[in-house]
Amino acid sequence: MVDDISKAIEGSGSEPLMTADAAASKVEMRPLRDDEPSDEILRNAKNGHVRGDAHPHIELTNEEGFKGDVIFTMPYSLDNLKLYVEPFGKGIRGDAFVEFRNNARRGVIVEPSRTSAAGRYTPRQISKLRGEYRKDVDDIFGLDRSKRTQILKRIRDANIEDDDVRAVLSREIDDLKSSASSSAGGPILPVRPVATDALTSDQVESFRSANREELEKLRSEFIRKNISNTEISRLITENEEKIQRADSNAAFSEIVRDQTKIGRLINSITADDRTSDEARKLRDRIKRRYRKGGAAKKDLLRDGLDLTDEERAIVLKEADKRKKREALVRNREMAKEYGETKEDFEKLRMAREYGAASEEESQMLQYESDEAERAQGERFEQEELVRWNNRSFPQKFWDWLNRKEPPRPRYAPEVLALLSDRNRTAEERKLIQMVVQATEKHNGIRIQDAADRGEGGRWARIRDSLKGGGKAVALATITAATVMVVMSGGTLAAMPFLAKVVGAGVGALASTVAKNRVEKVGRAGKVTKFVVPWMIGTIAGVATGAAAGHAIEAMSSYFSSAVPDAPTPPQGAGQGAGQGAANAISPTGRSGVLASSLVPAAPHGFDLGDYGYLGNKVILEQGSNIWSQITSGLCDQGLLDPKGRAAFADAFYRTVEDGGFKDLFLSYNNRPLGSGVFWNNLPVGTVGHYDRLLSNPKFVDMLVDRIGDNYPSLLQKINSGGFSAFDFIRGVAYSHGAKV
Amino acid sequence: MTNDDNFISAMLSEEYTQKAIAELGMHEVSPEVQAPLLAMIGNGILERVTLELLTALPLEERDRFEQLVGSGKGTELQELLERHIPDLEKFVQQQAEREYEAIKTSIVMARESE
Repeated sequence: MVDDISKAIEGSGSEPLMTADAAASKVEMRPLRDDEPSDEILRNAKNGHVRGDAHPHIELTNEEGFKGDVIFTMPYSLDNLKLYVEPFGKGIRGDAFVEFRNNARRGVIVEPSRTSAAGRYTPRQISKLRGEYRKDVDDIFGLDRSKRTQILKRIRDANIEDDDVRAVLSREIDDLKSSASSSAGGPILPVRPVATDALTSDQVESFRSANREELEKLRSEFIRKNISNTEISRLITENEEKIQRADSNAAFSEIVRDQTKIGRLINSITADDRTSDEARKLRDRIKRRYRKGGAAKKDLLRDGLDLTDEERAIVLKEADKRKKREALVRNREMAKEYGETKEDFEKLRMAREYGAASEEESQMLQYESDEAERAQGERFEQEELVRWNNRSFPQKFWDWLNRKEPPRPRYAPEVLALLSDRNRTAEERKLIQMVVQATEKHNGIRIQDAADRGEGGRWARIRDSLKGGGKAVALATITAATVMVVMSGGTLAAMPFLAKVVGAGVGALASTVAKNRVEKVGRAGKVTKFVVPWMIGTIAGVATGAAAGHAIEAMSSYFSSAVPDAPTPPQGAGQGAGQGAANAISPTGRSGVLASSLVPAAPHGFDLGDYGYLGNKVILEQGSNIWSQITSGLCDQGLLDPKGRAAFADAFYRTVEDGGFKDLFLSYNNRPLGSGVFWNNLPVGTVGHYDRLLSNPKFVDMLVDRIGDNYPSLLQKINSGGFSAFDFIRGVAYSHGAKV
Repeated sequence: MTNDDNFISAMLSEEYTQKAIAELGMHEVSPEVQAPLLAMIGNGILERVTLELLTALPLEERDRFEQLVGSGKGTELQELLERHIPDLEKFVQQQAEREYEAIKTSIVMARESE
């Protein structure tokens, strides 16, 4: 395009060669930079100071922000400028810049910056120069293909107006000539037929081998693209056969040409060429790799033909980046003549700035230098990622152990929360429960082992330091351990319904305590929701043996870790069943310790049945009535009959009404909570003593009464097992270490 | 899927991920379920290895271990452990495998008992 206009300009005479409209259709435009003047130059133009003779380098810029160097324009008219061309002084000035305008469009021919102001050659001359160098390269017999490509790229991008650059190019081409002709090892390819077709047998073998290698690359690419194309398949087969037969320069040249064609065809394959099955496979593969990050982006660039919008956006972005990087690498290669570092660039920039180079050029160099550095940084990051991915597990493990901010691991509540999603299939639900159970079982054993060895506190601290989620995770452990207990328990030790009711109540209290903590942690740790650990209460009726001990240990661990100044939980608190655990925890309620323990379960055996509800969650909201919310949530989930809600709540309220919290189960800073504390405003650090709640005869009596009043069928069931409601409650209470 | 899930999967390698999906019967569940489950198991493995390292150290060195974990002083931490655990890399690998096998056994048993 530029050449076309230059040619026109170089024409001759003073005949108008084209109108502004015609020129406008052939120009590239660019916006005016901030530092470029506009009005003044335009005024000069209006005043007629636009003859090249008087101002050999006049810049004409219009008010819309386009500028250019005016070489020859006459006569000048704002309304309809026509270009008149006079003989152009070759070698006197640089590139032809033509400014034109009419009422509709304005613009400027923009020559690539490097050859603009400081140059001494016309574009045609530059083109010719490049052509000569290219021809020199083409004439080199047996030149290695990669070297050929490299030098041709350099010729294409070099500032060929520069004598030094040209000298360097000539020298390099000479070197290539001598090295190629000596042909000392390595595959060489004839790039064009030479006068004589005589090849030695070594040369033939060498060419065949190199061509086979190249064909294999193409074939791999073809296979990797997962496409069907009979034309390409045919060409590959043909090329293979040709390689077998080739023994002359002409034949090898043809092979090279065919391979170039094959490569072009492979690159031009689009999604439309794929069958739907191929497209699907490719899409799946890209998605899969995309999920893994890292190398996927590279593949997207290569394969990005049949993508979703999101993937396409990534591809385009990456392609843009790659394009820039390649351009910068080219520039950088050229700049190697002057040095490798940013400082070298700077020296060059300064030299040019104070020499013949324009400000624009110096800025461009600076920009290139910065961009090259940035690109190099990106490359290092990518390489680092690849290196990391290739490391062995132990090596990665060290990385993890040393990370100051490791990723927050997944724990049971988050995983169990998936169960509340109605879209989960039965198989998914089952698997979630199994994995949580299996993982947390071993987690519990680890915690127990650490406690047994007297390492519980240390281990807890180490765990904290390894968890981005911090203390909120400890809460998760409680719930997870509880789930493990419930799920491995297999049977309820007491009536399921009441166990649920009591569990809900006790869990509610634990939730209240936990809520305050979680909210506090949540602000820092991004934890705003969690599964209400109402199941904790259920342990009372369910847990047996060591498994229960793990849960308690986990709870103790949680409260210990959740309260920064809390003492280390009693070691061995979770060591198994019965009174040992009961004795391990102070009945007076130590600060920071959730005073609860377990005794062997009551002799009732009710199957809990479907445990699916364990993942259901109640999200506690700040400022609401926690009690109401818990019971409502449980009712909504069908876990608590509305009547049960009333019975439990009524028993509880009546008990509080009569005696306040003092004799119940909540304390703060080693002191019972006063009656002025409301459920929805429990302070952080509140400790729940469930044994006290269930040891409170008034509460138990009320609950027993309400079972009879509200659950006649349940009472009947209990009685049919030979127990009274009181026996049942007592069983539950015992399981909490209470003495009724 | 979160970055954390990705990180843990990447850490335990593609091989682990594929192996776990196949052996634990996860191939039939959706990716949004797979990812947190894998991450959870992965984390269990990491913790198991850490705890076993702690256990393998003599009592007088455990405080030092606690201080070094997460401090970024990787070389020091490794040196400390290498003084007491011969073939440290093998040890780490073995413990990771043990934990995975234990979790797998639990899941398989749970499936069989259905």
